[in-house]
This record gives sequence, C-alpha cells and structure tokens, in this order.
Amino acid sequence: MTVWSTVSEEHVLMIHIRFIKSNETFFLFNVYAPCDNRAKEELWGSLSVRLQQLRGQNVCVCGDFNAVRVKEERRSVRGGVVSLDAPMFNLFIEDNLLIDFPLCGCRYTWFKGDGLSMSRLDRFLLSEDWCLRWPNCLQVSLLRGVSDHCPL
Amino acid sequence: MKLFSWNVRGLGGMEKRREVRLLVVEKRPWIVCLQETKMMVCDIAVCSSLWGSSSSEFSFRPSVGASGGVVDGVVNC
Repeated sequence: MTVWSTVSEEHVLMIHIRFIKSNETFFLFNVYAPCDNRAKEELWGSLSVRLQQLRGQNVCVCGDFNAVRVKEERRSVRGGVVSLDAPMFNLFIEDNLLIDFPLCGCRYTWFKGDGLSMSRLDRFLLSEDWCLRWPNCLQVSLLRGVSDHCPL
Repeated sequence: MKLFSWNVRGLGGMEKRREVRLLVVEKRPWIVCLQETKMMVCDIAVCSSLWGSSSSEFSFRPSVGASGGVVDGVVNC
C-alpha cells in the first residue's frame, strides 16, 4: 500500500492510496467539520465538488462531522431537539450517493462531561463502488479512553 | 482492511499519544485518521511515537490557532 497523493484543504485531508500488488486505488477523506452551521454548509459544498469528480471510484469519507442525521442520534439536557444541521448533512450524504452504514458497539460516539449530553458525531461514509469492491464492511466503536470521542 | 477514525481532542500530551500508540499496536489498523490534533507541526518524531517504525507514510494538516488539525497515518501494511 502506498500513498499516491495528498490534498489538504480547510477541515479536510484527502489521501489517494494505491495497493502495490493489485494496482487498485481508493480515496480516503479525513474530515473534521466545524461547529458553526454556515461553515459546515460551505464544507459540504466544497467536499461535494471533490466527490462529484470521483464518481465511480472507491471513496471513504470518515471523521468527526459535528452533525447528526436524525434526532435519535443526539441526546441532551434539553431533550430531543431536532438539529438545524441534520437536513444539510442528510442532503450532502444523499447528493453524493454516500452509504451510511450501521454502527456496532454503541449508539453515540461523543460524550459531554456532564454525562447527560451525547451524540453520534463520528462516522464512516462509503461510495457505492467501495461497497461493491469490499462488501460486508463493519463499523465498530471502541471505548473512548482519554478523549471525549470514541475511536471507530 | 482496517481503518480507524478518532477525534483525539489534542495530541500534545504524552498520555494521548500513548493511547493512540496502544490502539495501533493492539488493533493493527492499516490507516489511522485523527481529528482535532491541535498541533501546529507534526514531524517524523511525533509520527513515529504514534505509528511506530512500521509506519510507511503520514499526512498532516496543521491546526489553526488552538483548534482543528487532522493527521493520517498509513501503518501496518
């Protein structure tokens, strides 16, 4: 396995990986989304431009998206408030035909110190071609240790 | 193929680095993607403390001010 190229943008690091033996390649996006909704919308926009250029490729977008998809993915003191960021995030996933597959281990990936607030902020999103090439992918969360996020 | 993604909330301290190292040793991922490293620079010394000598390559995007920062390590392959 070798790194073919790297692209670094605000909030994103993209690497293009090639398997030396088979010559197969894939693209891996490491995302750390901002909390601010407007900045997040800009990020979904710029990421979408990149992803549209990579249609038909093996693509994985992973990281801390600082957004949830449905209200069940967030628990807070205020109760199940529907997040403003969820529709934008869902649109980003749907527009780019990304596959959001289930998480094993625990329901949330981020835990606030108060023990009351928790969210599913971290995930792996895969392109259809990735899933066809490497089917039966499994997404598992581990114990979070010294961070407030679980490793996936 | 095993990939890892983790928001570590700072990689400056030795405790965090040790935990990442432990993850790499125990779970043997191929690639590790870390977020919120809060590091302005990430040199070979830092990366070898995370990935060990098996590391083939790494990519890094520095944090702006006190927040942000992502790093990818291609390890164990």
